[in-house]
Amino acid sequence: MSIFVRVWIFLLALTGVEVALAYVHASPGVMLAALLGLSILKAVYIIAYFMHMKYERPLLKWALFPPVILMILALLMLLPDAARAQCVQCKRTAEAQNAERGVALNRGIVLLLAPAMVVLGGLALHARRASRH
Amino acid sequence: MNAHAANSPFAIGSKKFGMWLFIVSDALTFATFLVCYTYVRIANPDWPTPFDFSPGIVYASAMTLVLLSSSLTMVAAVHAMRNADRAGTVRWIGATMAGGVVFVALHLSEWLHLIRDENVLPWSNPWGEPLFGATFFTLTGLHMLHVSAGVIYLGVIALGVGRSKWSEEDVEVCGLYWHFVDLVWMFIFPLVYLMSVKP
Repeated sequence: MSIFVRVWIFLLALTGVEVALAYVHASPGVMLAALLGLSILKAVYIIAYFMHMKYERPLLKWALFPPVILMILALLMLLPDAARAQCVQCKRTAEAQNAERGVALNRGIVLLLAPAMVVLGGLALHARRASRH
Repeated sequence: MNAHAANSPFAIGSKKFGMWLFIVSDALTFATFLVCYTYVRIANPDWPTPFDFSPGIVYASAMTLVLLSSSLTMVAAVHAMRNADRAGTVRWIGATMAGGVVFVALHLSEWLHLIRDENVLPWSNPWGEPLFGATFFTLTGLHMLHVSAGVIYLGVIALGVGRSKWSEEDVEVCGLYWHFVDLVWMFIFPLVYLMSVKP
């Protein structure tokens, strides 16, 4: 029972982090990546512990999850198109600036991507660790 | 594990497998709505941000706390049923149902606040972005419907457990449904509320 209480506390803590993130006021794309990363992490814990999937046979996991994940990835393929609507304005502004500013802008983009990538990387690492035992 | 589960290639009973199949298909229903919403949210630089810290975000955070806690009491109910403690199971399911009712009550008061004070309707709002109301009420409404149905489902199971009906598997299966409803909220809360906080 104590493991479930610990998972519950962990999920509440992640929710707290999400609420704090909402007040950082990053761009919608960065916010989306960070919040989605944290939400997927929460979902993994709910499925693994509360829904007991951690203790089921691997065959059940293979039967249930790859189709859902593939379907959701197929849906997500549409998202870059949505981001493009804002990118057109962004690109025009960037092109009107000189080369030095362009370099700074590129650095800024890489910097903003880092937190989202760290969250996703952590998630992948965790999935790898969890699958070992 | 019951007798016929031993013969299943998945080592679970057919009821539990059936619920998992339902959850997988329902997950895709929600995923479709969430992706549609996220698409219009990201594509629109002028998306409305009507959620004040209080009451909006405070309410939604409290609802998250209530729903997560009701998942924990549901785990306790399944645990009690495994130990053949039927009275305990009914009590824990009762606590879970209370969580569901509090969630729906908080959610409805928040809906009323948006409709009355902010003039947000499913087809129109002060910011001239009807898609906001359409996606917001569809997503949260579908989820609220799931919570309400879950409370009724839990009630039916609790009544039966009290009368020595239903097995351990039945309690576990309704627990799966309840945790799934909790899981969906873990996506709606950040994507709908936290993406649109009032700056």
